[in-house]
Amino acid sequence: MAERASFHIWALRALFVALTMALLLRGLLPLNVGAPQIPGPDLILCLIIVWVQRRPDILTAPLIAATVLLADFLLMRPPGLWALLVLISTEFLRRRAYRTERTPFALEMGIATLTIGALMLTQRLVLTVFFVDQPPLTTELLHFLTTVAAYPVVALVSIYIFGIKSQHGDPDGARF
Amino acid sequence: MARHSYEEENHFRPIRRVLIGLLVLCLVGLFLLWRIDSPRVERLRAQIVEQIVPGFDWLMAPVTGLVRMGEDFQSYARLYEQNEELRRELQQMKAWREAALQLELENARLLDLNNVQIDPELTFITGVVTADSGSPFRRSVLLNVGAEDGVQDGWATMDGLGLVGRIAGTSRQTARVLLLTDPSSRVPVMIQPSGQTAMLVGDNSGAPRIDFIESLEQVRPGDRVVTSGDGGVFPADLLAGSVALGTDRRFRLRLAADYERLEFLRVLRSPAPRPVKEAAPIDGRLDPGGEDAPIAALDEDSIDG
Repeated sequence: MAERASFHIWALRALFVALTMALLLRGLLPLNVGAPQIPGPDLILCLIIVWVQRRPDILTAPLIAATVLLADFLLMRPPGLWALLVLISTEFLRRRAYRTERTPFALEMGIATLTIGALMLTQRLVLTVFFVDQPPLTTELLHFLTTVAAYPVVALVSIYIFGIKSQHGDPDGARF
Repeated sequence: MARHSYEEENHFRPIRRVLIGLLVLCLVGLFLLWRIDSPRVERLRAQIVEQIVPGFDWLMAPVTGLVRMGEDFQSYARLYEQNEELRRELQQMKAWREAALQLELENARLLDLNNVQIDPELTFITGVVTADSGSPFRRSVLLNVGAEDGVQDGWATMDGLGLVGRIAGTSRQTARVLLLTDPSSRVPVMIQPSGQTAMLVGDNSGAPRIDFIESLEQVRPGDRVVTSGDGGVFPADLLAGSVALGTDRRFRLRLAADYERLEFLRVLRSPAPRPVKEAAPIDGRLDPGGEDAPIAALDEDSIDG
C-alpha cells in the first residue's frame, strides 16, 4: 500500500516536471518572434500554486526551486530571484495547505491572486532596489491579469485531467 | 486525520527549516552574484541554454514546422484574393525591376568612376534560429552558430533584407541575438536622405522608437533608416527599415527585416572594435577634461533631443 502510494507520488512528480518542460519549450518555439503581443500568462507559476495547495507532498521545496531556477535561466530572467520568491510564497501556501481542511474555490482564487500580485510586486521592488532594467509597468500589469485569468483554467485542468485533488487525512502521504 | 499530518509536520520541522534556509541562501547568493559579476553568470546561463535547447531540437523543430504549416493552411482560405493581389504586385514589381536594372548599371558606372572598393571585411556566417526568448519581456532569438564558428559579441545580424539585431552572448555552439525590439537594444542610425543621425531604441513593441533626432522637421515618414556606424561597434549602411509615425506621434521604425518569420540569419563578421582613445583636440582647442569625443557628442544629442 505504502509502496503504491509512493510510486503514485513519484509519477505525479514526473508529470509535473514533464508539464513544466513542455510549457518552457512551448515558450521557446521560434514562432512570431518579434511580434508585439499581450504578454501571455505565467502558466508554470499557476501550475505550482494550484498543485502546492492540493498536494503539498508532491511539490517539495527543492523541486519547485529547481524547476523555477531552470526557467529563470532559460527565459533570460535575473537568475535566482524569481525562484527565491516563488519558493518563499509556496512555503506559506504549503503551511496553509497542511493546516486547513478545505478551501472553497472563491477563497483559493483570492489567495492565488494575492500571491501572484505580491510576487510580481516584490520582484519589481527588488529589481528597483538593485537598479536592474525593468519592463514597462503596463506590460507587467497585463502579465499579472493574464496570469490571474489563466489560474482557474489551470486549476480545472489539474483537477479533472491530472487528478490533483486535496488528500486531507491521508496518513500514507509521505511528507517532505 | 488532519491532526496526524500536522503532528508529522511538526516532527520534521527543524530539518525542513534548515533545508529551506539553505535553499533560500543559495538563491539569494546566485542573484547577488549575477548582480555583481554579471558576465560570469551570463556565461553560465549560455552554457545551460546550450545544454538544454539543442537537446530538444528533435521535438521543437517538427512542432514549429507543423504550426507554420497550419498558419499557411489557414491562408488557403483567401487563395483567390491573394492570387489577385500577387498579380497586381507582380505588375508593379516588373516596373521596379526595370528601374532597378537601370540604376544598377548607373551605379556600376559611378562606382567605376570613383574607383570604390566595397568593404571586403563584411563577410557573413549563416545561422538558423532555434529558439525564442520565451519571455514576454525579452526579445531575443537563439542561433545555432556560436563561438566555435567564430561568432563574437556585438556582431550585426541581418535577415535577407534588413538588420535584425546584434549578438549578445555566445557559447560554444549557440549565440543569442538581441533583437532591435528588445528594451535594452540601442543602435546608432542615420536617416536618409536628410542624413541625420539618431538612436534606435527598442521598447518591447513591434516598432522601435527613433530617438535623439536633431531637427524633426527634416524627417518624414517613409525615409530610409540605415545604421550609421557611429562608435565603431556596428558596420555602417546596413538597412534597418523606414520611418513611420507611431500612434503616440513619435517617430518609429518600420523594420525591413521580417520579424514574423525569422529562420535564417546572417551574422556579419565585423572588424574588432577600435579601443577608445583620448580624443585629439578639435580645431586646435584643447579639451579641458580630456573627455572622449564620442561621449561629448552623445551628450549634445541628448540635450537637443
